[in-house]
Amino acid sequence: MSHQAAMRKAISDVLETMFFLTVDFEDRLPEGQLSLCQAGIPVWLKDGRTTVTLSMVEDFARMAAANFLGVDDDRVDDNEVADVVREMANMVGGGFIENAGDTKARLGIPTFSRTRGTIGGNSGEIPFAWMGDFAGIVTWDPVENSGNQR
Amino acid sequence: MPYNVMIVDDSRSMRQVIRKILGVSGFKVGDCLEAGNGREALDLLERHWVDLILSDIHMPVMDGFGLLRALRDSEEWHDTPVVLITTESNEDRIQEALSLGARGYIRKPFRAESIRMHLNRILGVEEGYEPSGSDEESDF
Repeated sequence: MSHQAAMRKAISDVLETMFFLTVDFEDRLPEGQLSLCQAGIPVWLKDGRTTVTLSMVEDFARMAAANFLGVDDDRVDDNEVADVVREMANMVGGGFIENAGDTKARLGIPTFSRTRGTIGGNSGEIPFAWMGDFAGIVTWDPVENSGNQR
Repeated sequence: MPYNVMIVDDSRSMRQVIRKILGVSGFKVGDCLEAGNGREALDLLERHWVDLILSDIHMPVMDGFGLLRALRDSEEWHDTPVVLITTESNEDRIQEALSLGARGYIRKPFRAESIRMHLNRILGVEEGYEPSGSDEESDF
């Protein structure tokens, strides 16, 4: 499976299984600056290292966190959103590795940040939408051939 | 007899979700402790009895492998079942975890209904392992 296909499957599986959200994949990217909840996770693939970054608009991230925890959106605080987005990135990274069939790959520990910026321009990127609106994007850097060591 | 369970995961949210799933799954849970990494888990084990440990692998401070090694080397805890709930798919690392004593593993993402099924299968609950220390006092 290509990295692109492996990542799409990972995003769908994670969001549907644990967050009860079905997303569509769209090539259309939003314009302008967006406030984003972002988690990056290092991945050591057989052909080198990359970082997978999951960026989501705040409202979608909060809804996902609420679904995950089984509470209303307004009962989720910022720390819980951060924790859930980190865990989501962890699961997407793990699913990506499994779907890509790289049985020797390894994951690092995800880190979270809130950021404001524009979307797009990465070597690998998969934007996704929920109910027709842009919800987030998964990007990954070019694979650096630095071996499979942590 | 209910199981005293410890959930070890650096994600507080994931610990909450696993705790909730255990609560509604029909799996008999007594006390339920939570630790954010292997080190915290070992600290809790100095003060509390548990019958079952559900642990992540990827954690800061002390990961799941460190925890498994410490349990394996412990006179008191080396027989305690440890089930990994993890995103790990590296075959070598899964084999390493099993060789260190993990009874099995559940891959994240998981469906809530699969937890009890996995635990019963991995632990042989009905006909196998009998929790031995569940009547000890606990603060939880």
